[in-house]
Amino acid sequence: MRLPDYIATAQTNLLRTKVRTFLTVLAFVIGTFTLAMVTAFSQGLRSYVNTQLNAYGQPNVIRVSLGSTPSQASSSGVPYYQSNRQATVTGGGGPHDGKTASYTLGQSDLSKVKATPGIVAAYPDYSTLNIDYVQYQNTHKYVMQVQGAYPTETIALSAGSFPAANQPDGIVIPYSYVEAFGASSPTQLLGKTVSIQVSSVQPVQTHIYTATITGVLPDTAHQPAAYLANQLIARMVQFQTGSTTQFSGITALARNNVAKSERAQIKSALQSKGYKAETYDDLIANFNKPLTVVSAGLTGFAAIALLAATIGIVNTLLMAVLERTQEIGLLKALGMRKKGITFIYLVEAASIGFWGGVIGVALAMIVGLVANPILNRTVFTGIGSTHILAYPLSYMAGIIIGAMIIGLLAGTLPAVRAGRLDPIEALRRE
Amino acid sequence: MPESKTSLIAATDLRKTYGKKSNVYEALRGINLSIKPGESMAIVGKSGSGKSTLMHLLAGLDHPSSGKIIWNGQALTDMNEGQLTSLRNTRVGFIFQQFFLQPTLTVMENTYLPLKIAGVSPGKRKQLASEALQAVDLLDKADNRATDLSGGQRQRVAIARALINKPDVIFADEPTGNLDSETGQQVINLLFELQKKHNITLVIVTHDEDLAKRCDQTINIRDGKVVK
Repeated sequence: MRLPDYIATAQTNLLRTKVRTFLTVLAFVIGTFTLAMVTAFSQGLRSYVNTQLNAYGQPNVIRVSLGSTPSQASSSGVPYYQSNRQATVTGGGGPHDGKTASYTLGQSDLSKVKATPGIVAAYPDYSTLNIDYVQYQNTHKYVMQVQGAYPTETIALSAGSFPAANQPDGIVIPYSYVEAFGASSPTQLLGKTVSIQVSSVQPVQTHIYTATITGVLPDTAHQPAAYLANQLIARMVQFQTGSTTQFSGITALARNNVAKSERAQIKSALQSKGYKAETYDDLIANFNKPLTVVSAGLTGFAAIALLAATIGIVNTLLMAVLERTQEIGLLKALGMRKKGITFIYLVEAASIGFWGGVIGVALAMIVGLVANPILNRTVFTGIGSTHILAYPLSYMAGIIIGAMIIGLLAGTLPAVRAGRLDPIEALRRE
Repeated sequence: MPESKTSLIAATDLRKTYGKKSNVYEALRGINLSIKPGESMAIVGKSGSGKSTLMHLLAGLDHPSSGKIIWNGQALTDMNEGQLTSLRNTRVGFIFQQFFLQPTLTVMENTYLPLKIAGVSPGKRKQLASEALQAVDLLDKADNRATDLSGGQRQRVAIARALINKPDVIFADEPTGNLDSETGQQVINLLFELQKKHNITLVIVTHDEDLAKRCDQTINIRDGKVVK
């Protein structure tokens, strides 16, 4: 028999027992709908996270630091002192827990990092600088975290730009400060100045610096630190600590459009020199870790629902074979082979999976169409036009194909049974 | 009986046994027969005599426990499932007592079922089915469901179905069993008419002696053996 005939005959056969087919397909729909919704949620969340991350880092940035390793510590895990480096020690509440030290980096480290293949530039990272407050005109004094802006920052801003070479006192403020400073829009603040007070310990004194707002960061759920022009932050660090020769980390830049494999190579090159390197991929992985765990769990539940549906299908198809023995006997008498009979039933089983998958995915997409605008307005405000439920076509197609495969597996036993029926016995039955 | 060179089907010492060990049942105990091409043969016997079993073996629906069946020089017993199925699809037509039309299909769809199984294109099989239905005078019912038809009409559709693949042999198992005598006569007349017209070999299994008289050859079966 021709393949189109097999497919058409299978659909006709399924329609003969409308209620039974409907219920079997419904079982599949529940499973595939759940699977599609879980996928939509985790895909949407993933792209939402990536959008957020754009405010934090770019693909070509690598944060380099120096951490202690077991070989640089006692057997009980206490890190050594390294001359030329200061250390902050963390970790280990109990007596046998190892402690880790983060060491400061110096000029020689800067040179070594710059010399690493793939790195085009490296800048000291002064993010341990603590400012006392920032004040705009005569509004409240606010606390603020700061970091250095290196040249060629490519983060998209909601207004303005990063400090250029001729703006040695420039600052890019986080979005939340717009309202804090009493402005109604980010652009209002461009070109205005703010005062920043920094205090030093030795000798005990304070100094107020003036910075010009050159830009405003985008409105994201997590607000990063403000970016100060490199010269400005270097001056502040010099004032606070008395030296700029030690810094807590190095921001290294690879070329623009650096590929993921290259990033991995650079990371291992830095690691072989004894440094810790955090790439964009590590950043994404950290954010995505809990996401992956949760979505894996939900997918597991959806799979269980599908498994239950499968058992139902095996039962249904076995009954169908029993009821249609006469039909099978006739087909065999008229010249259909065992393989042909088996194939008819396999196509019916795969069709149940197909329709279950298509309907389940379609329903999930309709839910997304309706829910996305509502979610954007309520739970997930402020993320622009990113949809929290995303339905990539390849995933949806994969779910449908998966449902068909499960249908096929479920139908194997009944289909083989049907093929093996003795035509004479089958015809004798009335 | 020696095989005749002109026989279409020749059976030698056919035996069929069911069951094992103590529950053995011998349905056929050494049957010999020979059917010539174009001939009509009646296999007559009471129910339980083994006549249906014999028909199933001759049609290739079942394997004998021992003995040989030669179809046009080929031994059925040497054929595998694929070859037997192909033989039935292309060279055999079946008519059953219970008609065995698929109730959810139309008359047309029931008629071209053997062609659909064979992989004939939709256009071609519709055309051949129309011709076959015309021959049994049921073309006007082509789009009706099989369940709309009377018993006699259904058996005529079965005849059309049996003829559609232009078979060498038609096997009819109690074709008038579910029909009243008048309708049964009409159906049998039609069957013989078409059989002679297309020179098809006809094997009828029946307990009706009158029907048997109309055939060229008659074999009487009792308790699995041929009797005179």
